[in-house]
Amino acid sequence: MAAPEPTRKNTVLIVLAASALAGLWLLDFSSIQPNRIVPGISQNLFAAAGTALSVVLSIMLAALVLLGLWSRSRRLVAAVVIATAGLCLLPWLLVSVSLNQLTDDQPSARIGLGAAFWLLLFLLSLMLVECWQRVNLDVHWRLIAMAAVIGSWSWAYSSGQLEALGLLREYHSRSGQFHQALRQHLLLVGGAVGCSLVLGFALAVQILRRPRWQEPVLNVLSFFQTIPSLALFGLLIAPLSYLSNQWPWLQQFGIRGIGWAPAVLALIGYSLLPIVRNTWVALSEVSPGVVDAARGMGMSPAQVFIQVRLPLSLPVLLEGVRITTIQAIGLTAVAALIGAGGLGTFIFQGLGQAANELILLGALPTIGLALLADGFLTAAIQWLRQRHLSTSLTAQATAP
Amino acid sequence: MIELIGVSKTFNGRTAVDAIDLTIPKGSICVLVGTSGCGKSTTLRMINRLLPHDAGIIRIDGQEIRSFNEQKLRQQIGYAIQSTGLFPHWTVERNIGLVPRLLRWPKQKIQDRVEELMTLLDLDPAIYARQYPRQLSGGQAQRVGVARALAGNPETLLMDEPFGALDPITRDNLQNELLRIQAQVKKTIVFVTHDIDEALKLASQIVVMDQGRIVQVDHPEQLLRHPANAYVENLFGSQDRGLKLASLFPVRSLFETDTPIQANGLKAPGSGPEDCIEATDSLRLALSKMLWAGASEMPVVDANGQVLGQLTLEQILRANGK
Ligand SMILES: Nc1ncnc2c1ncn2[C@@H]1O[C@H](COP(=O)(O)OP(=O)(O)O)[C@@H](O)[C@H]1O
Ligand SMILES: [Mg+2]
Repeated sequence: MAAPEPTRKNTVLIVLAASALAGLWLLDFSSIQPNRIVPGISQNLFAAAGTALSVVLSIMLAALVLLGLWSRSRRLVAAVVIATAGLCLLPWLLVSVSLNQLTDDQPSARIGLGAAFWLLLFLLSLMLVECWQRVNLDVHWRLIAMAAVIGSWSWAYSSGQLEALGLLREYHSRSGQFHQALRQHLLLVGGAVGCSLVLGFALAVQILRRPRWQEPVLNVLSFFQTIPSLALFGLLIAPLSYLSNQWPWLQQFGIRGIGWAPAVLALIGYSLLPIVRNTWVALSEVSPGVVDAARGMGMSPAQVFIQVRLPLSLPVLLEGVRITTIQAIGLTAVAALIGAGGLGTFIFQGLGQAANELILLGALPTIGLALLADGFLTAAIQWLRQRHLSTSLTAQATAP
Repeated sequence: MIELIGVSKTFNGRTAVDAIDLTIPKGSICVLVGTSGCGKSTTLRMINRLLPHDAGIIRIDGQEIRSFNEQKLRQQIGYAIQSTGLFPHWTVERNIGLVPRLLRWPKQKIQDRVEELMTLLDLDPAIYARQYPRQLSGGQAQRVGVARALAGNPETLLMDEPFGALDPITRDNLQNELLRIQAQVKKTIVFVTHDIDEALKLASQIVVMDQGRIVQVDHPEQLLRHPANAYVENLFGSQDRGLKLASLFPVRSLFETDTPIQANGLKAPGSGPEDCIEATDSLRLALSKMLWAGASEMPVVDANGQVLGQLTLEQILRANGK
């Protein structure tokens, strides 16, 4: 019989779980506001959601600390299960807060989310990722865990008991605006990334052909990146207003000093560097021997480019698109300041009105979009890499 | 047949190939040798127009190469290089089938051709057809490279140090295989190397280049016996050219000219391969075996182990010193 695997301390898990436990006891979980204006009364989890659920959650976190102290790969699977369960439990804590704290005579009362809630959400997610990476959990199980969490949240949402959340109240009172802002945001990001992809690609191919241009072009593009985003948005207002005053028909297309035009221009300015640099590096790193052979076999220049250079540089090229997209999603939020619309509108409105929930209504979807884009493009890049290039593992097995 | 007449190539004012004249007969292996940077690759790459020639005429089968469409020309000339240049994102099968696809052969014909070539180059299609180049060893990758060069059934084959990156044993195997294949398919091969032994082994004609010029064109034996100048003599090893010469002739060639001595038809008395000389061994190997055994004569056997006769040291000396 094999000796049992020795236990080891997993310091990361211990620290995360212990911090979550401490936060749960010491910080406010939620607050109750009678209406949007009056400041709320904060409560910790015990006061807000009742003893039973609080004790359950505390026990789960304590178990995670213990698993961290004596960890083994089997036990870390248990930690994955517990962390997933914790994330599934979170919305139901809010449901419990709503049931315990709100009475029917306060129709406009709202629940605010406190530091303990965010801390739990954040730390439980970190623990989940830490543990599944440690045990190298199969992708299918990871997806099942994520589906469980999303399912639990959707279920809690559809129960109607979360309606009192300030965030949802803000959403419902302006859902039309929200969807429009989301559309604008996606359009701005998509337009800017699309334009920079086309432009950047053309530029990269040009500097590949004319090496003398390479330094000036990259220098100018790096210079763009050093200008703070607000300054660049601001700097574009003057020339664009001048243009639209000179040729008023431009205004029909929405080209003015403020609005989407300066926003898209600035976004393109920022997006070009990662795209040009990655495309250029990717294309120039294709092995000269491969290109020489392709030409020598009688492929036409177009065939060499489309069938050989492009597919071989696609992973690095997509990496540029990934950086650009994430960057553009964030920058578009700032572009709301010059009237470009998008999710940033809520952030700046919320800042003006000191309405935290409104800020979150803009900020959370922005973060969500960035994470989504990141996850999707990273997966695509990895798939491409694995498909053709990292087959060296099997090489040792088959080569004599 | 390939003809180069007064062909020159200049890079930024520096002459890389200087007015060379060369005729490569059909079905021969012409090996270009010379020190690094002497213009071997440039000469080769002008033949398939990867580099345009600045002056002179290059003809293939009597036709100036500029009169062809550039891509069509290259599709009819096999090309294999040291780094293999295999496409890492394509399977072995797809790599080999490249030129036939460019030539728009029907699918089934391409597949048959790929299998035929893989078998010819000793790569089991069942195992390797679906593998990617990264999964292959250096020798296998180069076999695929050669198969790809042969795929379109070209009359002409250009090979730029194709075995240069391989270990000596694998290189030796591939050289033997190239000779075996050449005996079957009879292409016109232009082969670049800086390995003199490789040149002597493969060439029907060796072209020695120095600083963009052709110094000497000759058969291997003639080159060794009558080097045109000190550069050639140096390149071909003034010290050990006796041995290099001995490596050119198989033992069998002696038995064809001289009458075999005492062909008695008995099994070889010894057991190991060191105790007797095989008819296909070179005189150099025969000499080495005699030196090792400390014997001045040894039995010669054929592939079946039948003794053909007795080879003596004197015979070797006479043959080599001719
Ligand atoms: N594409 C090129 N551009 C500029 N110089 C070149 C190029 N290709 C070869 N050369 C020069 O031409 C000379 C001959 O090179 P090459 O034919 O590659 O030599 P080798 O005999 O080693 O194959 C060298 O001096 C080399 O630097
Ligand atoms: Mg060379």
